[in-house]
Amino acid sequence: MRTNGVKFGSSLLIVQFALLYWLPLLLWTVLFAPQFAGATGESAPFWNVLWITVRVCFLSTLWSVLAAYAFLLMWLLSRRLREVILVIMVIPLVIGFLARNYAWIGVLSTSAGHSLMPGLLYSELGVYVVMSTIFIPTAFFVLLQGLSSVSAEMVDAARTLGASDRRILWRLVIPLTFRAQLLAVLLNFAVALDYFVTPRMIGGGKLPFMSMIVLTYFNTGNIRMASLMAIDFLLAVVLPALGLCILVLRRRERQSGF
Amino acid sequence: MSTKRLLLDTLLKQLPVSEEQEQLPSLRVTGLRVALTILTIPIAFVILLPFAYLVVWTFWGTDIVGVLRGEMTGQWVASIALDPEWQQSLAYSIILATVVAWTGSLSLSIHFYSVRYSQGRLGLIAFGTVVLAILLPSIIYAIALQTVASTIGLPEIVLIFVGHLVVIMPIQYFVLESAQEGINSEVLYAGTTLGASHSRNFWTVYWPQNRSSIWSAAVVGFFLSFDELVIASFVIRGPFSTVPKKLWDRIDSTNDPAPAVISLLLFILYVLQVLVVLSIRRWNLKRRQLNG
Repeated sequence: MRTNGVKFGSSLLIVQFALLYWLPLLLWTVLFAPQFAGATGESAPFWNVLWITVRVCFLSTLWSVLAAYAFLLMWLLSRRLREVILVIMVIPLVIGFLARNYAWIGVLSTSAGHSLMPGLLYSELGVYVVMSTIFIPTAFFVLLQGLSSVSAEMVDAARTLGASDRRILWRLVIPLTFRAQLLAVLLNFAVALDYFVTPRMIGGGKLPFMSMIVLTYFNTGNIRMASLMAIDFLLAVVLPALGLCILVLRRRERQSGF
Repeated sequence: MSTKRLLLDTLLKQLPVSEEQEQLPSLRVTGLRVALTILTIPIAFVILLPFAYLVVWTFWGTDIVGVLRGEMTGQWVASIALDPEWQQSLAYSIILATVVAWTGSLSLSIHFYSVRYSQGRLGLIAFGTVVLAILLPSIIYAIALQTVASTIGLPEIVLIFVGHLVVIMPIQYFVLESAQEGINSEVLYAGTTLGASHSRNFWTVYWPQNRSSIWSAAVVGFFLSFDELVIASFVIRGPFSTVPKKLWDRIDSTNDPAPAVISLLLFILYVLQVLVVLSIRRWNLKRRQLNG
């Protein structure tokens, strides 16, 4: 009885996700995929939209992780600044996604004849800047998790062996956090693929993201076209996602030993 | 422990930051530090700029995008607080986010507790399931959920609950997982060896050890659910709308500072919960000191 309870508890998450996430996705794919898969190239600008989505997501993610890494190094170099960095990273996560975009429109707007960052509103560069400000905090926390592979004992041992702090940084910290950098890029990229609010509001419709196109078709009642785009989008991302999932699982297996 | 130290500790406990990371000795690389300071100050400015604008926008308002009005006023806060439609949306979002956040946090806690007792690869399979769900765009899930549910005829409230739950749970998973190392399995095993049932062991041994991370997972889940727009955009068709959906629907029609007011309310809510947790921790600390 007690063992059954534990078995149920440990399978609970798998059952929840199987029923609530994978089952609808599977049913939808089985019901709609045979009708639609591969047809998008003929009837919609699928590849163009996919290219724009992937390009903007990748570049903004890459820049965000580099910037987040600069904050991580600051965290390492200055103990006093850790509290400040933490506050800087927490505030953007708390203020709400839509409000942040609205605020950026206000900040970038030149209606009064002046702007803090002129020319960025309704431009691709503006989308990069705004998406980056959202991704930097999330990338920072992923990188901070990766820092757990560097222990205080390791740093002390390196110092005892005569290594300078500069050498410790280049030969110990950066190599040990490399995987976390990769993980931060990939996880943020996966999140970025979902974006439609920022490209719509800051890009002014010049950057058609996949999610935005799907939602527009859906809202205008063209469910068939929305499903068609979404299924091809799924086909385009499922293999890289599986590859990444295997990479993450292997890393975890190596770390935890099971 | 000083109040400043306790505040930092409370903040850290609500984030996926372990004590080891916080205790890591600082490295002294002067040249790099100067270069990084020069680089990070403008980035920090850009990161915090929207927040500063939201605060100003809340009290000054705008008639034209980007042009603030001349005088400070509380009318926007009052108009949101007194508008029955906004009240309904806020209440709906808060109740939904609270229920979703605690459902996710509790079921993940049960999972992490049970995995300590189960043999085999259940934990790894669960991890894979969760990671893959993060990696696939939620717009695909949203359209799948909406299409399948409309075929079956599920009510909107069930769909939005399910959608939010599977969107927030993977993030909560990582928040809770980062705290699992700090929980002593031997104490858990001792409980069951001495005859406690798993439910009793969970509530009396595991829960107290994991309380702060369960709370932080719930807080993270609350904010994610409250802010969720993708699922809401596909699912919500009826009169009850969540706050982000309501804001999104008004995007082309108005320029009033409703988003700023809502955002500021969210921020105040976050600060309040940090202060409540801080007070509880201070009270616990004092009680422990009194008990020796």
